[in-house]
Amino acid sequence: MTTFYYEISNLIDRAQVKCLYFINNVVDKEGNSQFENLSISSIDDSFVRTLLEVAANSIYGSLAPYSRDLDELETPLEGFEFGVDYEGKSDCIVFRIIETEKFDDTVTKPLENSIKEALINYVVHEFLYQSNADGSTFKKLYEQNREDILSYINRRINLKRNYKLY
Amino acid sequence: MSKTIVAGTSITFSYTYDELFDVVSLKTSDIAVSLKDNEGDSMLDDFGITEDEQYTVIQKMQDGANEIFNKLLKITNGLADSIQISATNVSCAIKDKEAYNMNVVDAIDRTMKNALINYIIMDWFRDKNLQDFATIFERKYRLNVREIEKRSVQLRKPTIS
Repeated sequence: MTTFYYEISNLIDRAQVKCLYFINNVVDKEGNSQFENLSISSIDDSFVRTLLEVAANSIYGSLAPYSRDLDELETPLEGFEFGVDYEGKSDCIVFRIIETEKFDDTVTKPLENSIKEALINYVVHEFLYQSNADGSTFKKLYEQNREDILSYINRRINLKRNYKLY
Repeated sequence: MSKTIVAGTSITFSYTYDELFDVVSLKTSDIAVSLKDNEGDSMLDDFGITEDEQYTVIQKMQDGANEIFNKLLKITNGLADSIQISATNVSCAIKDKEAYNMNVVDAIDRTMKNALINYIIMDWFRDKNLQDFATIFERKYRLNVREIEKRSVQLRKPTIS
């Protein structure tokens, strides 16, 4: 079993920084910067949490087929939890999967990273969208992350045909 | 001009009436001395800011502070009474996220003072209907505000662990 966990406060910090660097060069028609309108700050924490929950649920949709057997373990576990304590870290998003026999575990780290980036990019895109700004760059990144997640989780080693090609 | 940092809690930028008055008085006097009336006499009394204009300068300092400090409002969340505006002093406290270069804080401090000075002089020349000078100082003021906003990125970003 592999567990991926992410501290929500850490994800929010990263989303704040990513959003700040993006809007650094965004100005209105009069040349005024848009930091006060578009930046994510602690005021927006509860809204950003709801965005993270939406994104996490959606991502879990891709991981869910690999978490079906978790409830059959000696100690049954959930495949997805939001806002729970894990390994001494408080307020985390937790995903658990049970790898298939031929799962390529060299992609565990890239998979972990893609999930994290998907969560962050979704937050930044949605936040900018709700603030009436164009964050489509982050939407594309999010979609790419989702594709990567699918690609990594379905990667296998030693796949051999048991039939002949003619 | 001063800044007070309480590590991990707040950064306070503070400016007194006296320090701002000294500069606006000097600058407007320098300009006014070169302005002549029809008889060739200097118009220092008409266009230079002196102690007689104390209440006008206080009003403009407060208006300017209100406008400039509002650009940082989002990073004052969690700090009570972060913006203080009185007749003798204006100050703005923001959250200290500890992810900045100290030199940037100094640069913002200097630019805030310049922005307040340029705002006061801009508004003074507007009142006096000297539009050319008002426009010059408005440009300077806008540049200052843009610089504050641009540099404020460092103050807005949190420390990433």
